[in-house]
Amino acid sequence: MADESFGGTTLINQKAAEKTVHRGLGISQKGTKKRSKNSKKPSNEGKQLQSLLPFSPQFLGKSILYKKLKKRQQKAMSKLELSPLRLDVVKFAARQGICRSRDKLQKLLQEFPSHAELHALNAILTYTDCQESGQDEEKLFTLKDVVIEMATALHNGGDSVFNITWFLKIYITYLVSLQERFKRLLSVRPDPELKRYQQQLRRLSIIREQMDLQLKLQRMLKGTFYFLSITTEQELKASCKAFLENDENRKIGQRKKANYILYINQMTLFVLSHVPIMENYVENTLNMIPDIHRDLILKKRMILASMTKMKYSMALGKNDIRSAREYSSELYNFSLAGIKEYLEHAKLQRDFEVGPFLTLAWIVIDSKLVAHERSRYRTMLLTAKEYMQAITGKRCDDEHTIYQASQFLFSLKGLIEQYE
Amino acid sequence: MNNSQQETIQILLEKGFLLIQGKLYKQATQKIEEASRIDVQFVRQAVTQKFDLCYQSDDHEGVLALGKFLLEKDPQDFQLTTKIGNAYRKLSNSSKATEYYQNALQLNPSYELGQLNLAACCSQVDKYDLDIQQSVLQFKELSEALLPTYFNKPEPWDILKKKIGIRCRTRHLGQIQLLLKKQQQLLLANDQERATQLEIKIAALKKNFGKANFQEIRSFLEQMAKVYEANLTDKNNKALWGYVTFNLGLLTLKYGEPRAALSILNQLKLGQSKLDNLDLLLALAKNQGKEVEASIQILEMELQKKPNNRYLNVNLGLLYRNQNNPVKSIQYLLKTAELLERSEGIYCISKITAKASSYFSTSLWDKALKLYLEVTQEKDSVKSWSRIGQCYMELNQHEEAVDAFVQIKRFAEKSKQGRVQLKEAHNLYVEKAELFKGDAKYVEAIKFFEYALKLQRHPKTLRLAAEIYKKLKRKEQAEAYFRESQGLSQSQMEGRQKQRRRKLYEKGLACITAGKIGEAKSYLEEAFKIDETNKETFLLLIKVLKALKQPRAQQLTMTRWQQAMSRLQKRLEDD
Repeated sequence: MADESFGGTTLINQKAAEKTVHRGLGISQKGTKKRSKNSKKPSNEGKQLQSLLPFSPQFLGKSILYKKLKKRQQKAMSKLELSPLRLDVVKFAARQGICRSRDKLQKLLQEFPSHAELHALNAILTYTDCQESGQDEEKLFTLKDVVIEMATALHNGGDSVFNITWFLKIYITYLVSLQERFKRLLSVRPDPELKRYQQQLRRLSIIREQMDLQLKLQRMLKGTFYFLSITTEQELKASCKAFLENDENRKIGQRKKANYILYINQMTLFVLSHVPIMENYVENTLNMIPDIHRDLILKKRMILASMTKMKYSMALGKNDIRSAREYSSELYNFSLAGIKEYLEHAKLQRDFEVGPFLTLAWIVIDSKLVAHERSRYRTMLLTAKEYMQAITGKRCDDEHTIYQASQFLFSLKGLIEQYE
Repeated sequence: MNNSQQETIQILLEKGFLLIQGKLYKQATQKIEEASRIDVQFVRQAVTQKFDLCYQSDDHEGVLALGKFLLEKDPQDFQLTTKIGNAYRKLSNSSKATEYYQNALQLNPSYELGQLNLAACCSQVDKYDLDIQQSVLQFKELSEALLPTYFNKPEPWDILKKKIGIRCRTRHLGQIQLLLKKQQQLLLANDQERATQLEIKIAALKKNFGKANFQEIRSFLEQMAKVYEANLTDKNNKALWGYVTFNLGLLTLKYGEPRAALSILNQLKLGQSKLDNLDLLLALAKNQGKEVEASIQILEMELQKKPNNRYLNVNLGLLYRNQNNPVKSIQYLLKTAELLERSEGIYCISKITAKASSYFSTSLWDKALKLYLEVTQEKDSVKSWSRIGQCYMELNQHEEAVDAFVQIKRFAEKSKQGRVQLKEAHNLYVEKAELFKGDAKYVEAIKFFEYALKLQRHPKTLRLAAEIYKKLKRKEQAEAYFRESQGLSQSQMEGRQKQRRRKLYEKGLACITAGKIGEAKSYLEEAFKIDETNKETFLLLIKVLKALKQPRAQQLTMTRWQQAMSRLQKRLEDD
């Protein structure tokens, strides 16, 4: 029965999601057969793996937005009570029982193919199935589809803390599986290009460190209204306005507060800025925040800088020196512009105020091997030195930052001597 | 200005002020500039109002942005220039602040707020405008130099004065009796006039009965100094000579004899004395002797070494005040005021320590801590840091407490007092950790063991901490601590054995010198048992055995030594 209900699922307006549902079925039921039909010869495995690399938003496919719904459908969708379904899926994911809501979920997905929350739950369910299955060959492809389904759900308004945490969990598992596959492949057939991909994948693993931040956020919000709620553009804008008017505790809507909305938004975007496939999502969400207050702008810029850092890191992993140089210059100029435009006289107390200074110094030190033009690099070094001195001087009180800056300063002085 | 222009200005200003609210100062300035191109007077008025609001609400960057705009329109505004300086200072940019204050004073050299703020900026005291004036008001009455207190050594100054007073009493009594006799004779001779004069003298003597005057104290001190001076090779004597001579110098200075003071103090300086405040006294003596420049030079040099010395600051402030240098004067007086605020108005470091100690003994931890921290700003001492640590402990601020105890390591790890204090603190933390361990609160327990280990790496503590780590399932840490504990125990045991062997060897050597060869043999054999590879013991033992004509024992000892050496070599090779 279960087979039929899964097999019969067709998602009218989302091809990727459709594939996922079928693959989910494949893994739990007949996956091996299906995959074996499509799988290529072992010699092509390298090329096949390339398509699995999550290095840019293109990984998610061309059209990732769900079809717009008619008002009637929207009304019906908003009346859906998903709590029991979610509870069932979460329990199943925590290995605390079997999932009794599979059929219901599939029916609902047929009825509401543009419901991001349903897709997110479906992705969690498929992921859990996938974790329980031991079929390695198939697992990776299924995981890819799950990542895509979850990411797509986030893009389509399913970006609650709950879903984002699950997305990261799935994404990390996917990265680990991918790395293992590359390792195995490279042990049989050492190929420089594959090696480069492997290096890039390693660079993506930085997300594991960021996961701690997300888990901290999750722990903080679990059991509260904010955990499952989704922030709309209006709410975000209203929160920014409250921030500008120095009324961060202002109620937004019925149950939310401006400072919470902004905090959650900043944290999740910062974490997701380390995931290249979510680049568009992060950029789009950042665009929703109006540039009306310096603190908000600096927070946005911190997230943007983190994205550029990621690109720089990936370029280095790929051994693409030219791109790395370009990204390092971009990051340097971006940080410098931020300092000059917003922080010329400011006291440096909070992380987003110190951020541009430390990023600038970091990129200058880290990019010593990307062959900047000598005199230009020397100017970069001297500028970075000047700004680090500003931090170790009186403009900053935070001991940890001062310590970090003095370490940078030490390295910068060494490099300046070399480039004398 | 027509209506549409006014409307444009309003819109631009509103936008600009909204940007100021959003801390987007550059963009705000652009909007304001744009508005001012239409009607500068109107915009200036509006911006001045906003500037005042920013100044009152501590939006320092706003003050800078708007202030600079206004200053451009009126570069002669020295009050505005000072306010911009204040904003820079509040943003911790003292070099820019100084620049603006100096500009303000160039525009109006007698502008008091400019002087006050420049002085505060130079002394790095976070006070502004009239607050500065209020702070230095306490020194208004102080017209002359503020001298330090006497050393209460070799005995407390008050007791010393009483002692001299007792001597004076006998003399005063004799004098009074003599005068009384004379008076009676004069009365008998009916010389009423001279008798009255003597009456006045007697009354004066009675009034100061038993009180030593300057000359009496001075001569007493000179006598004392001579006694100590006779044997300056003795360290203790030299120190006492130093204290007495310092007090003598201070006394002469107090009674306005700068030349005498200078010669006494120079003598002390030549004797390479490093007494506190000696250079201060020298400078003040020079000042009394009208060598003001030299005096200032000495004080400034001393202040570079001891920036928180209250006497140096206040006296330099007073000197500059007499020199009619208001900025410099306020700079040092303000610094003194700030330091005095922190030390409950006490100047002398020994008195601050005494006050702190009294707070400590009455369990007023906060107050004691504050004062002890002040003391350490000027002088490191094991006792002060140890008390700081204890205060923090009592206040349950253990991280800070450990940091304070660690300070002792910095300058007195090898001193006996330092070691004792560190050990005491270490033991206290171990005790606390054991209590938590007893209650099965392992996370807390390990925290306290770690505190203890920061102070001393004791093998037993390491072992106990390792056990807790094991319970917390942190195997790696547990193993590392076990290893370290074993290593430390081993090296401590080896150290003790080494010491014992050395003692036995020395006893043996002493016996040989005393001709007690038989006794020497037993000591040396025991020493040899402890370390059979020690060449020194081996050679001496062989000599003794040879002298005692015991060839078999000699042979046996040689074999043991050879075997021990080969074992050692093998072990080294294995390593």
